[in-house]
Amino acid sequence: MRIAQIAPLWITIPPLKYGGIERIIAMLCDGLTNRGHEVTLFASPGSTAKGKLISVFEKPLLDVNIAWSNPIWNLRNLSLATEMANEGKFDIIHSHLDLWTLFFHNLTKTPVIHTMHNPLYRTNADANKDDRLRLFKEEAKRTNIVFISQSAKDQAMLEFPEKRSRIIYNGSDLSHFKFNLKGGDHFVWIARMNKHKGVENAIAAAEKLGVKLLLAGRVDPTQVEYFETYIKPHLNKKIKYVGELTEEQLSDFYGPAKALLYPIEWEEPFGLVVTESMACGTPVIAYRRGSMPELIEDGRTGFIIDSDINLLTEAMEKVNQIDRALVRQKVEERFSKEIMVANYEKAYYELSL
Amino acid sequence: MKKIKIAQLAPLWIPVPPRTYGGIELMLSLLTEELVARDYDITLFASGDSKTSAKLISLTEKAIWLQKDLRSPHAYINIALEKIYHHRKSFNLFHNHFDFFMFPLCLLGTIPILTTLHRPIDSVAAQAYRAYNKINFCAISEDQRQSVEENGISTIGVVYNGIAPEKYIFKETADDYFIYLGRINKEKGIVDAINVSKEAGVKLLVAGNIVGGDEWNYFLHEVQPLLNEENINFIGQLNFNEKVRLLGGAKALLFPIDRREPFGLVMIEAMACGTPVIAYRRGSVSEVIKDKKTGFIVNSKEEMIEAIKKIGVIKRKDCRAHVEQNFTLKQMVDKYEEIYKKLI
Repeated sequence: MRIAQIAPLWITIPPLKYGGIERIIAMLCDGLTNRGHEVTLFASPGSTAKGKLISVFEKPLLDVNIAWSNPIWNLRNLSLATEMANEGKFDIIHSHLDLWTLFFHNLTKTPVIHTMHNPLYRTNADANKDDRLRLFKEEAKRTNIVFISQSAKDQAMLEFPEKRSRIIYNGSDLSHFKFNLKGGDHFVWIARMNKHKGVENAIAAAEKLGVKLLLAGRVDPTQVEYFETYIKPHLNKKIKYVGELTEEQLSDFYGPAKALLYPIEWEEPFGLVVTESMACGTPVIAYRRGSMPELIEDGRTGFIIDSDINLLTEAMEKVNQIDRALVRQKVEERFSKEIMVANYEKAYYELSL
Repeated sequence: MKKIKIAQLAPLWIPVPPRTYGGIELMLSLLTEELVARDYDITLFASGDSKTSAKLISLTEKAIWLQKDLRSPHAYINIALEKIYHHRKSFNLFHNHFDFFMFPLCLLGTIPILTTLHRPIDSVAAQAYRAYNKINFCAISEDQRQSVEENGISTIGVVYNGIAPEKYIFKETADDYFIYLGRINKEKGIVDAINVSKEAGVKLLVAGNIVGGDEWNYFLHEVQPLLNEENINFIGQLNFNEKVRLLGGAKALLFPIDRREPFGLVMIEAMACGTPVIAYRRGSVSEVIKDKKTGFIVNSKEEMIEAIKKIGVIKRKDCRAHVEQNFTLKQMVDKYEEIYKKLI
């Protein structure tokens, strides 16, 4: 098939560092190309994912400080892809641009599919996002939408027709995640530094048990104050912050750990760190929020617990029971990039036939 | 003969016409009313709190800047595109005043789009504008046309903004103050206006509005500390009648613009009241003001102070006459009609 992938333009595909959506797009481009499809990637210069790269602007937008909120290049990107689709160049357009995609399916007969990477519901972090929902009310019936978990779909404040909505889990490149049979004695937590990602809960549990905990992840400029006030005072020999990690460093972060703690305080739509950790054989102990029960099998690949520090410490004490080989195996069966690519491929065929 | 059907696409930030500040929305309201009077079939796509004698199709209940809890306008802009799309078959032409947001409509390929460039365009944004080669761009001053053409965007013409002078009360003699009227931000030159007035020892009325976090920061840190002076009087936003009264009473409008101003509607509003304008030589200024006749075009703070001191030499009648001769609503709409005819 001739597939257009429409990516956000602020950083390259794949990203040099942080960027979950950009990483998923790169896997799709590589995987689809390897399966013999003709991929055209609408993304920033410097993107190295497989396929023919088309860039509407000369640099990644972040390099020239174009604000996330400025949509001019998103619109241009979608416009160009649509123009080319109308010249008969694509069999399907797959957009990752969130809400800007919604209007464009009107402008072309080529089918458009749209992955909703961001949650379509009120989150703790963002209680005012419902301005977006008013739009989806109008659009829900005609949009081909992909949710990244059943939870993300269930929590959406709007109903989408079954035949137009799909669930496709994010995948990881398992070759980047070395299986570690033994694990170790310490625990890990990784995410963007943010209250909703449960970092304080992880710290409280580790302090209660007197065990070692390594924290990793980016501190955004808006979160510096949070980090300084609530996290830094807890850092010591046992609780350490190791900064933001590159993809190459992730295996050595997850693998030697006893478990990943993910006591989140929001309805996380997917949680790539969970499947990445599992890919290294490291089980995950998570609060029963968002997609967690879909990703983790309670008692088999980790523990799902109600939001309570005592339950968290209990689970940490019995996590040795988990068979790390099974943890890895489950990821191979459900969350590899190959499986994700195959699921998208199936969706493309369904829509374009 | 069948009426020509034109959709006017308004920015959604403030209502049409504006209750207080808003040059684009004021111009658009005048244009729309006059086109209706000239027997066009006009539909105005705008925020629901707009008022018009054309057909109004509401794109958001309330203008976006008046919705203080709204984090992102993008959902509304998508809804706007969607609604316009569903009405598309009713029109012979789209006349767009809402920047690049409406450009995707050109992919329909069936209805010509005229975009009036109301704002300055930087070289980065120009690359995107240029890529939409099906859009017809119209500039609002010769200088703006030059600036966009330097950026590789071709234009179909220049149409100066116009107003209805009869709505502006001509005031023969001024009261004892100068006035600044515009957004309270750096590029509109508020700080120079205040400093120049202080140094010249004259009274200044500061009128205008403040939008968004950046402007509030600028106001709190750069402007407010300068306001605590007997001679500087900050009066905030003005409605139309207050604006006419206070512009008319001023010895001159200070317009120390710090950007390549595409037109500067407030200059012709001031002159229509008989009030001369003292402005920096940027953008459209030398096309709008007749130097030494309807105000002074200056190059520095020092020159602005000198101009303030000799403002009495300007004949207020000349200011009014200048607008009546060059910047009327009739002239503006005549020109747009010519362009519409070319495109339809």
